[in-house]
Amino acid sequence: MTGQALSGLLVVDLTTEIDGPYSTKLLADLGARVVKVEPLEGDPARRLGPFPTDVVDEDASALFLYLNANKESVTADITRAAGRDLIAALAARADILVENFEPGAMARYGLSFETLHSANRRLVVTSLTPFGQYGPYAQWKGPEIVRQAVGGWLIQGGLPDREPLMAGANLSLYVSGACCAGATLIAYLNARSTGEGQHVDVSAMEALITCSGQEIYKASRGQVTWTRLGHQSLPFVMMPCRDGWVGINLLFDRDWVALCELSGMTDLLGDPRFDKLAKLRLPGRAEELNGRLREWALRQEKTWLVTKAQERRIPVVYVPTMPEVMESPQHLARNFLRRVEHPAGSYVQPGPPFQLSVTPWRITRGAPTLGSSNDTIEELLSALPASTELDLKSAWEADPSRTPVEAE
Amino acid sequence: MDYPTSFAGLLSEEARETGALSGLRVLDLTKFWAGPAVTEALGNMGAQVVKVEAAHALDPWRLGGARQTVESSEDGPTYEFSSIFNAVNRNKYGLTLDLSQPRGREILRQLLVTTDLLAENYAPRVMTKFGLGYESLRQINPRLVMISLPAFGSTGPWRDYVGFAYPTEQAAGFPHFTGYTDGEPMLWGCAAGDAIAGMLGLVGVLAAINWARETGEGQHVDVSQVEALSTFLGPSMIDYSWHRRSWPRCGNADPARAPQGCYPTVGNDTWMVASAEDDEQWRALCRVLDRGDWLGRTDLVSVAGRSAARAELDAGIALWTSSREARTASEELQGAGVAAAPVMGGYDLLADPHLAARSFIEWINREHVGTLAHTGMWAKFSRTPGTIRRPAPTLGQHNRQILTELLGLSSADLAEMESNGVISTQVASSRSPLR
Repeated sequence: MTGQALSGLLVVDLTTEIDGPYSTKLLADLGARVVKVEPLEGDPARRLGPFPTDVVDEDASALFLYLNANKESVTADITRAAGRDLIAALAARADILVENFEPGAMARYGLSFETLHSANRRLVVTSLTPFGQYGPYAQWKGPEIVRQAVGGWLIQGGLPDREPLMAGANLSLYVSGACCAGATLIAYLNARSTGEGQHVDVSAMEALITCSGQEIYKASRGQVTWTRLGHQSLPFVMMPCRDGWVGINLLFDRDWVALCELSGMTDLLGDPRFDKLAKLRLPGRAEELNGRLREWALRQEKTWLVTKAQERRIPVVYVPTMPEVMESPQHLARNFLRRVEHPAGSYVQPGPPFQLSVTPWRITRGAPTLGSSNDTIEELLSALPASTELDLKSAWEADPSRTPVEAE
Repeated sequence: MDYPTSFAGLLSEEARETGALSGLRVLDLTKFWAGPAVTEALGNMGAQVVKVEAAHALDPWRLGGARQTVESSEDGPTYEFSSIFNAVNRNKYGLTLDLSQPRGREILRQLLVTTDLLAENYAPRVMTKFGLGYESLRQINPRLVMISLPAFGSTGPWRDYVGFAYPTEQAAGFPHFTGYTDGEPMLWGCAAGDAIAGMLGLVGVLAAINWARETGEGQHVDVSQVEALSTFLGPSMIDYSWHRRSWPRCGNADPARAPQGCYPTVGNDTWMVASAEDDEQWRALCRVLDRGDWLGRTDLVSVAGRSAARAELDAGIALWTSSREARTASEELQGAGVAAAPVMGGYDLLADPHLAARSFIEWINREHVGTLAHTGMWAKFSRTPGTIRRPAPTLGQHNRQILTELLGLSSADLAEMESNGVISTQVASSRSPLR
């Protein structure tokens, strides 16, 4: 098999739920060896579902299966000395450790960056939290809606006459995870050339602000910052057509001219209220066109509308529902929809976030059952080069995590 | 001609710089936001980024981007005032090159000899048309990593479809997950599909650089912005493949957390959010709101019961928040262990004490616009922190420095290139910057 871009990296993954596991998934899918150290009761994502039979099955949650394919599962009770010893032993041999506990937890467990780094100078430790490791909000709870509120997202979402609206599908957790993976690899590349790892403190709030626009910069200039516009009219609007939804988006004056030509509305170009794209942005102005535009769109089939608009270089696209996503000609042509065989049931999931021309992205193994690599972890620890010889045997004997696994 | 083997020592101030990625050399042909977001992150961490622009076909972000148009100013050229351009292109050197001229492409090829990463986000046909497809560029430099970020990727029937933030988000299918429960599909608030695709592109670039350092072999990173975003939809896609069911829009609610929502507070159009993530937070919420009646109700003990009573609970929470300041109320709830926060915009964030304590905001002076607030790197690196070393370049600001120091060109060469329009420091009045 061809090598993968991150073949040879060993990642110790203490993260649970969505943001951290998505970041280590990105690394695992590129060939990094990711050892997921789970609490004895497992990553809570195992119980979040959805499930193939709609009955809770800790080895079959769609969320868990998606985020944890290509990873090995080892259990360790981090609250007990033996569990911490195991994590420290893995970290002593790893390139990267990622964790998403609340700030301060790792230090309380005796696993602070300083401790781990003193045993392994090249180790990169990445901590992913809603607000970062320090600062007044560091201990605040930060679920999805809070991240969108403090990240500059919520204020821009929704209709002007209703409450601000968050983006769906746990968007901010995935964005946090993507940013976490990037920051981790930057530190890894640096450690690769210098031999020195470091601590990377990823703040979801700061990642979200970075992706929310340039609102802080604009504020410092005294400019208007974005509030919720709803995007219910041109230059950006979604419209139902005969057989589904399309998005009609206009960037340049030429887009507006081309849309008027396509839709038979060229009379508007002679109307001084509508003759320039910038005029469509005036408050309330483009709303006047909604009835006419919607009536036209409803008469068209989405394939015709998108094809004809794109021929004229107008940014018009389908807005697919999930069934339509699964039939997308572009996804099919690029082999983006990947079937994965798993004991829990065969399923289809998204493919690579980017295509690398030499080193493949691949799903080598389905998501692990809880603790399924416990039996091979000693092999892993002995096979990897160690700077210090650790007494793993006694760590294991004291490790209560062995018992529930063996009892299964 | 002889090619220089390294940037080091040539760009003298850059040679003194340290950073996690110091020594990484990036040529950046990207426009808008997806590509610039990738190179912004690399620049933050010490990479040497040269932004290559065409004076006759400006980065549309110099003109204000999709949502607003930069107003002309008497103090300088219009294209130097764009907030969105200036914010994301800091830490980059500015070089103008007309790639439609053979001489422009020749200069680019010469620069590529010592480049680690070429970033571009043209439509797929453009680079090939210029003879700058990856296969031909790797002949110049086999270690070269190249990232392309077209909306739909470099292959497939839709490869030439035009798209940017909103179309990308739409085409990935996100609007059907976003919206009020009783309403139509909606866009995210932020026009951010391209920036988010850039964050994934960054991962691809770093992985490819790792491979190049390991093996000496470069490669092409083809980011379909639509696919990059679509990787966030794994659970719903798997669920569909099992059950043929689509997930409903849930507004500000979350089936696993109730109550949760966005609530009005004192002030004009001022809001906060709150979420009871688990039973413990629910009980704490009741105590803060002094709702012993809720605590006593058996139907509200479970998240399912609270979800069923969502409307009632939301109304009760809104009653409490509407007489309070968003920040005070959020701090009170968070103090009791309940997830809450003010809904913050640019002005709130600029004054935010948490961001200040983390030194996330830095004030940087730039010609034409003065000293303005930049956001730092989204992660704190303990040994090699991110830095903002220079503002966004004015058009062609570093033409002379790059071409003389890196390629050894003479003043006469530069003058000739300037007269032929290969390089420029201003937009030629005869050619519209909007093509």
